[in-house]
Amino acid sequence: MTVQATQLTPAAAGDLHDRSGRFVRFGSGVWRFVRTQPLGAVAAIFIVAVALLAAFAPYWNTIAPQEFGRDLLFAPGSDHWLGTNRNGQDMWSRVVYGAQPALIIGAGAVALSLVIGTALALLAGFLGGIVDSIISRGLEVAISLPGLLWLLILTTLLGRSIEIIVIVIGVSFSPAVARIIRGNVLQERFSMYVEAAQVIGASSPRIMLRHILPNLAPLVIIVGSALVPAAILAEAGLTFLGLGLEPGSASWSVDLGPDARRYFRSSWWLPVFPGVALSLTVLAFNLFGDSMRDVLDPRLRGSGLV
Amino acid sequence: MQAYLIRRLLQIPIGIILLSIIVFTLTRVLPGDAGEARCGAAGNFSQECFEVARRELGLDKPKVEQYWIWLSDFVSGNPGYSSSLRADISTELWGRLSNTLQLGAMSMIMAIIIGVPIGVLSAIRAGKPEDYLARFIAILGLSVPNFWIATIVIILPATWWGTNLAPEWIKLADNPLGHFRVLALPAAIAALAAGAYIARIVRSSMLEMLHSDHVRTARAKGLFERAVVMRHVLRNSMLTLFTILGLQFSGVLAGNVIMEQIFSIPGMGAFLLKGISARDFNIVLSVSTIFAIWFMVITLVVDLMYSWVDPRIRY
Amino acid sequence: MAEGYWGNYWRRRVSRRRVLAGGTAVAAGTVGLVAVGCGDDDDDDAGDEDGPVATATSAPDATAAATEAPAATEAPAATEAPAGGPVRGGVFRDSSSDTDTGLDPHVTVTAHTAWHSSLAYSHLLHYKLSEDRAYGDLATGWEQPDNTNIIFNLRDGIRFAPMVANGRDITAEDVKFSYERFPHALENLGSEVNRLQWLFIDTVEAPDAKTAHFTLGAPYASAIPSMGSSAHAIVERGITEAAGNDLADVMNAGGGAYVMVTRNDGGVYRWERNPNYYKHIPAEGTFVEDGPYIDAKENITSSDEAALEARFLSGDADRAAFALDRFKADELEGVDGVVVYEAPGNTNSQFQMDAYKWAPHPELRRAVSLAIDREAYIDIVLAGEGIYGSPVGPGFPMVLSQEELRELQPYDPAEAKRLWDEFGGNEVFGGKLRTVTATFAPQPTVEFVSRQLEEALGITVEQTPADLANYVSLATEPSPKKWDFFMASESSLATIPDYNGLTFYVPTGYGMIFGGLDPSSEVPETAAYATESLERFNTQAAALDQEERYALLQEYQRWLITNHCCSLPLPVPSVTFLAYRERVRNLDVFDASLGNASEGFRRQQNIWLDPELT
Repeated sequence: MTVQATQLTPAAAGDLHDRSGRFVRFGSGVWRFVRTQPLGAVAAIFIVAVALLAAFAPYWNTIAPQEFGRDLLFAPGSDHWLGTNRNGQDMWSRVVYGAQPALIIGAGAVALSLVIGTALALLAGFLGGIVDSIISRGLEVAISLPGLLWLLILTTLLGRSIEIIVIVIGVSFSPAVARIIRGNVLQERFSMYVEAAQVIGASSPRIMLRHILPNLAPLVIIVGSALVPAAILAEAGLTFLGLGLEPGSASWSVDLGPDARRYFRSSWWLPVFPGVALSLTVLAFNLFGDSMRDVLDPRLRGSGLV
Repeated sequence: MQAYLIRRLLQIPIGIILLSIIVFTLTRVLPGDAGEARCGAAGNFSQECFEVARRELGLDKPKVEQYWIWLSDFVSGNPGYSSSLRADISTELWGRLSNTLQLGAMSMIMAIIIGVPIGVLSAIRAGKPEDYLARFIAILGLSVPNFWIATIVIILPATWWGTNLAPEWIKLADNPLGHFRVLALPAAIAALAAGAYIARIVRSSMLEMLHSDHVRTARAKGLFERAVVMRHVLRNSMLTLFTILGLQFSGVLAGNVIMEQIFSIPGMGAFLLKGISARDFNIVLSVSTIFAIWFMVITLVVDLMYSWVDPRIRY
Repeated sequence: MAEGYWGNYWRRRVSRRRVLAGGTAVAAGTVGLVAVGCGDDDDDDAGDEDGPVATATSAPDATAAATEAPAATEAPAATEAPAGGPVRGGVFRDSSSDTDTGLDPHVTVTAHTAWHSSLAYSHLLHYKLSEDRAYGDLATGWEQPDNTNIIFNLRDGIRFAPMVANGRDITAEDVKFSYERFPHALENLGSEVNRLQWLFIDTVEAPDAKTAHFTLGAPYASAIPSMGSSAHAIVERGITEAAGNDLADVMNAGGGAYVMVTRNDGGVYRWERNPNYYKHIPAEGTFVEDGPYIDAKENITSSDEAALEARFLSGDADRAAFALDRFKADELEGVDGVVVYEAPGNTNSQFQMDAYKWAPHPELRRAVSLAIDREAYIDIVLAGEGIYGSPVGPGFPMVLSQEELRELQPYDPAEAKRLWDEFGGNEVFGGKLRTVTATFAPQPTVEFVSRQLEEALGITVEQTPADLANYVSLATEPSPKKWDFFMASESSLATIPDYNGLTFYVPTGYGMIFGGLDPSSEVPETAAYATESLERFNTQAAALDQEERYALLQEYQRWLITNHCCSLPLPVPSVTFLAYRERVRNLDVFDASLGNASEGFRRQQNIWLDPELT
């Protein structure tokens, strides 16, 4: 699963490929998005709600999520809305705080992979020649090793703090991003406006950043929103294998770990609440990503897609 | 075309060597080594033991020589000695490769059985309630972590009916039927996400076809909608799908590590985990190299298929 | 405090668990004289049923359990009166996460090897901890003419398995060869843990085929218990030499009750009855005249706990080889065909420091000890079923009383903070303490103690996650180490019982290997402390009078606890849970609960399977 997530193969690339389009201005775009993409809008609201939970975690009637307590494995009730775990920690608090690492990893890793991937793609696609050959061959090699292997080796090597996980997942996603975007850079490279800019003597960095990059924005957004759920699931898989976030940290994936599986039969709330939170969030990001793609992708617009 | 093929074929070994050098370097900077792991497993924590073990495993040789030894072993088809197996890697490697491929193939077949009908239904009923439902199910399949599903599927039947769905491993040679029965459940769980992915691909490629010019022409000719869908849309979409499946399948080798772990299937993913935790570099190197070869070959085949499916693509 | 419905439900369930007050057996026993040796339970066999590292699921105190559970109605040793009497036959199906680290009985120490050395090899003796008594296996009897000589007489008709040297007779020469092999096995990447078990033996002579004469280097009263462990396997010379003195991959080289027929065939291990197995007349201990009742034993390994549980619940496995605590035990109570047993706990749990760094700072050590709320630890980590720990394992007669232990280990966070600040804890340790977390074993203890230190001392605790390979080098690297403390525990008492806890405190055991408690350390305080500790240890070890030795050991414990160096005992569980399928009859619960490499149900031959039940 992790691998499917991390390997945005050329197939997926083909899927996203060649989708240039006008950049949708966000100001006017939001209303149209809500109107044409009701499911996407619901997903967006859910994501915002999760983000609010995470951002203001201390204010949602929570206690410190890592605080041990004497109420061991209490069922959901008035004192503990979602029950407690084996360490007597309040599950409501842990579910609320658990949104933080999920969003940080989802957003952080994807942002990092987009930055690295786009930079590589711009260099390779725009400069061409030997630079392109080196980068392209390098990407092929990097992509030929399953993402999971990179994740396993790198987390073993570097450790498992959240920053490291963000970096590891971000870096391991970036070759796929670069491969997808490079094709578009090539198209833009030979477009009229770039030639025009070259004629009037604009420098290469300027052309790349001022002319090509804005035109890549829709594709970057599509790729980015498709990768967020993949990043969250990749982290969950790593944690399950014991190579993700440290045990004990307030995180949905950690809460789906050994204790949740061990006490499943008598304490159903242990696996259910973090599992539902994780799945719904990933689901929302998937729906939202789909909607973004439909909105930003002119070719599929009007073809009956939500 | 021929020149292209030769160039691509030549790229594979170069890529493999490059990759194995990177992996080799990464494994050598990991903290701890196979010598320590081996002594630790024996409860011996002395530096002397570490040194003896390292010497025995050839870890005291210069790094370049270590790499060369591994490479020549690997090329000769016998990828070296495993410190954790205390035997040649090849004693387990091929069996594990075969298990992983079987698990992957089974889950791919199941994914197609699940994914294609949902995708087709979704496309021809686009915008209708069935479409929404089908797509929601597909997205759900992509959103629920598979280890979570596996846990539920193992624990609940055992609790309610005393049914064990995580039986012992059965080898193909011993009992083919039992063997595939053991594989069926993990394959089905892995197929959920893959099937959801396929459903989405089928839907979007079919929609594209339905709106394409030649389908419009076919309709204009007065063909029944059913015939249009079957003859033009589905067939063309399937070709796209199969090229995509090829690439999906390349991810399958490593993709089922969690299923292998939970259901105790002796496969490549579990092997890799074992190799990393025992600092058994030969396992890590060999498994990752096989992954890479597999990936590169499949990519080549898929690229060739593209040109076969779509004659406009020429190399 | 309103509990949820289910919480109440579980809490109120009237336990129909069979309670065992077997602790008295150990408490009453006279366990050895000198304790050199150590638990077989190494720190690497992760999710093993022994619960190796501080998972706090198995363990604790015989004395406590004995007083808390006086209502035990059944006999301590046998589990239930068999309805029809023992039946021969059947396959015992185990399913565990044991890792196969090689089959050499003299070298490796994980639980998996213990299976093998218990089943496929014979031994001079079988030491039954619950009775504190050794029974003859190959030996019919032994004499000890003085403190340094032991002479064993071998049984008639003892033979190796058919595939081992054509099943020839086992002679005293084989005993001599096997015991002399220990040091050489060590050269072959052997185990320091096992080393402590045989180091007391000086020479072995075989004056005739039926007599083995052992000479000890010094008087050692724990010699017999130690030699009754499964590590003291008798191996066949020809096979051993043919294998280059490395039995790690040799399936059969002995004459145990079973022979190994399958090794790791897709995770399946299988042992079947050895047709050459000799008669035990009279059948003493757990031995049966015509060999064990059970025909074959199987271990189907899996690293996934949910899969192990499903196998046990469905009756595909006879033993619950996953971590059991009160909550799990309560769950299993209601399952048809499952019997849950309770036995006194037997764990030692330590807060291990790097002596190199901590020895010069007695006040900081005290601050750490004062910062740990042991009552809360018992309530939360041990779910209320725990007792104060001591350097000596719970359940031994020389362990300090709970009252005294409680007094010696107070909780005073304010005083802790004062000491820490006044004596510059933050300067010494740079404002943070570093610890190592083993990724292969969940450690709520690490988390709990870390949080308490953070709160009380105003520091941060930094955790370095380590996996198997990493952990070994991190734990054993020369001082100063990359960590300041880590949590260590031993869940076994079976090998050389009263040494298992002490090993973390003495310069001859883990205290040195892990804690850097080195008498020749370059840090003068560390060297001085280690030297004194070693002296005190040696003094008690040389005391031949039991009363005198117990008194010395108690004094030693007080000294260790009040000096807080360089290990702090943590509370330990007072109860161990076991669960077996109902068809497993006549289980020696207390011995089985020790779950250690050497003893337990693996060597119990009068255990049998009820064919009426599944």
